[in-house]
Amino acid sequence: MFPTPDLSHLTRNDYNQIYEPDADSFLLLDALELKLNEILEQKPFIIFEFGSGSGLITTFVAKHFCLTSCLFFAIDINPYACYSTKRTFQQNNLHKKHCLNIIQCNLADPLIDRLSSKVDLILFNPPYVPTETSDVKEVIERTYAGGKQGIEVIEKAIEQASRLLSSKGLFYMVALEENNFDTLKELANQVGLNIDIILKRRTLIERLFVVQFQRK
Amino acid sequence: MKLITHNMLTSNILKGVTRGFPLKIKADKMEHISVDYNRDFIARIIPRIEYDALRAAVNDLGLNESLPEAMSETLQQDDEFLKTMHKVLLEYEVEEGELICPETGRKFPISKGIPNMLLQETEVS
Ligand SMILES: C[S@@+](CC[C@H](N)C(=O)[O-])C[C@H]1O[C@@H](n2cnc3c(N)ncnc32)[C@H](O)[C@@H]1O
Repeated sequence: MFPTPDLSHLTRNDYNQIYEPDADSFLLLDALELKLNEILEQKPFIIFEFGSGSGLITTFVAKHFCLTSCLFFAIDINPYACYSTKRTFQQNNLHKKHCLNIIQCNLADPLIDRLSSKVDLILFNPPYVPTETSDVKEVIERTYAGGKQGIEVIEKAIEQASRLLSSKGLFYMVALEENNFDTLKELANQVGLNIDIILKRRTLIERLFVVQFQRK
Repeated sequence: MKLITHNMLTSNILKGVTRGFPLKIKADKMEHISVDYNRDFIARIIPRIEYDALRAAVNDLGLNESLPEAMSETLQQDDEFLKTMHKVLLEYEVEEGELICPETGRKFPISKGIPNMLLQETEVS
């Protein structure tokens, strides 16, 4: 088991404004670790995280999945999440080895053109909770509000990932049982991606799973 | 924000914008942070760079760096050139300022080194 990145610089005050890593975050880390060999074989060079929050996941990947220097992109709609991602990367001393690009934006909107078919590894622990709408004001609500069936943001992310992924690129995403695997499969199919469940976990309050997408 | 980040951003999700690239840059506060030189890394990055856009950014910021007018295969092996590219792409940081859409003039603030490319729903095509 790889150790969790150092997050000791983040306090309660930070977690009032950003998502505090939780069972879903750690499930994604565990799923990545399961796929360590497959990911290392691809020698990822361009790595992209949607909704990086504290920066836990990007930092974990930089630490354990990148033998040589890599180009990272971490985006979030929440400016505090962007700053936190930057701090976490630095706290773990990764900014000397890798280059991290952080942008406050909606999914990959301003990056799609330039990164089209170039991304080797994509990561997303999305807002997956079914809510009336995903179009909520408070940044903290946007960490979980997934809209109808919890898939409003997920749906757009899958579509964008299908454009960003390199030919053998891998995309790992957390989902909730209520998101419905068959729905996700259909969304993936529509944009030419294969999808597989690689890990499932039941927490006290949720049934979560992690899926892997790859071009057909 | 480093110039490599700038090189990857477009504003073409704005209504009516076709290319939205390269964005103009205005810097109110800049820093120069030294980064260890890694020849393999910079050589791997260069093929992914839009060279003309990088030159435009250097010009917008008034940096005293001489980048040849055009890139070539031979230049990509040239150590002097690689070192200049390393410095230009990875060492300059725009801390405060803005990015400007070349077609509409829409401004995107850069604050604490992070560009804010979020749009209002009414602005999106
Ligand atoms: C469940 S949190 C995950 C945070 C972190 N990656 C982790 O695993 O602990 C979801 C993150 O996605 C961000 N987010 C939600 N909708 C987004 C969107 N449309 N574009 C970009 N980021 C978004 C939220 O601000 C939040 O930081």
